[in-house]
Amino acid sequence: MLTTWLGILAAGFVVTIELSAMTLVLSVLVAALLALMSISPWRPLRGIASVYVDVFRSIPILALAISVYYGLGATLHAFGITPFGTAVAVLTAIESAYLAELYRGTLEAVRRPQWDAASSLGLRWIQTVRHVIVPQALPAAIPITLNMAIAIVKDSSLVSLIAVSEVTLVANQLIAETFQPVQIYLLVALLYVVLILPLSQVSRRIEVMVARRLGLQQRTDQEKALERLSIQAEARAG
Amino acid sequence: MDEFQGVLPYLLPGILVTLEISVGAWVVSAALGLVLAVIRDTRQPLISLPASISVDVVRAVPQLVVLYIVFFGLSTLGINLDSLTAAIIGLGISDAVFTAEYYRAGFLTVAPAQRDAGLSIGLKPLQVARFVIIPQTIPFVVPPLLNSFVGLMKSATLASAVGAPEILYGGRNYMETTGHVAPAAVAIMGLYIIATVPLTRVVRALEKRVQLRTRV
Repeated sequence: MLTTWLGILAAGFVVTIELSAMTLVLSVLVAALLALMSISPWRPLRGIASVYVDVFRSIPILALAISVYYGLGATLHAFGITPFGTAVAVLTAIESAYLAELYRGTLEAVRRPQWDAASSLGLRWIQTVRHVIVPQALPAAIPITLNMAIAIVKDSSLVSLIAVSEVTLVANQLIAETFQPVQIYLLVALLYVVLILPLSQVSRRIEVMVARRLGLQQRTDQEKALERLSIQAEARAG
Repeated sequence: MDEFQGVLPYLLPGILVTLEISVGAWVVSAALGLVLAVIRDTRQPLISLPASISVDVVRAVPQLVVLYIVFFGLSTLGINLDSLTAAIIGLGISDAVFTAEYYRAGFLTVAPAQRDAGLSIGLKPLQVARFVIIPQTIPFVVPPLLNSFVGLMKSATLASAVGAPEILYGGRNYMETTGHVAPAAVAIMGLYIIATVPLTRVVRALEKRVQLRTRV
């Protein structure tokens, strides 16, 4: 019995992974663009990025998903866009706002004199970003991106409510037939844990490695604890 | 404008329920998170290990699945919770594993020598936590706890999935009865923006102040 259920749920979990992977790739691209806009010297670009981040960090994922699905579902369907596509778009819109803010933090952590040095060499803004700032910000962005991947996998369960057949919806359908919510939801939880626990271990390792490489180990425990606090606080999507 | 007036009766009662859920879940999360953090901090593997494992496991499970387990799962075991209570408990538990980390990081900001000092004057480990560590941690955990409240206000929308009449539930009712989506969607998202943007700003300002204080 359990193995049959696990097989059905695993098929749903594949959709969860596809959905999350597509969302992650798109979110990284959108977030990188937004983060660059937010440190750019052009005020309108900074303004757009900041409004985008503020707005999409404020909107609950479920509220956006349901509004788009109810409001535009028929239109999108006419254009051949499935609930899966809608889900990717909704998740990307919101997760990229969180990620952009975190990426901006890594870019701003590159110290001011680096900008001054680059400009004294005659590099333009785009060259400075490309050759000086981004390479130094990249290591810190890796664990952040992994943590975001975890948040996206978890948040993807919400789109079960707009008819995307990922694992949570498959579980609900299975429960409607079997009336065994406890076992089935625990199996679903198990699937998430099996995927996410190793990911979070890897991300923790990389965080430590990056901190070492950047020579940050001289900081006091107090400073490190504080930094973790603010990273964790910001990494929480709603 | 008329359309928006039509939406209000659907949303207004929901606002109150949303607040009930978010405040309730916040209290559960802040209290349970503190308990978990103190247990993990005892360094007695017999109790701290199960606490760490459950924190790690629950952290990996989506809020919606935790909510379903609390609401549908418990009811088959004979524990019937109404949707509001289930939402408060479910969202509270899945948030508590994060607040536990905030407290733990907060504990780390207190120099280890202070723990030794407390023990050396004869305080028991729990007393050290209560009188020495926790009071010094408060300024550090206030900003992340407020952040967690902002997060819970948004997560409260999940309660609509188990039938708690919060704001999104009201909005869906309006959408289904009238067939109009835009007024409800705009009103709900607008309310969330109005509520969370200023709160997030306040939290950020508080965070800066705490950081500045520790630099000195």
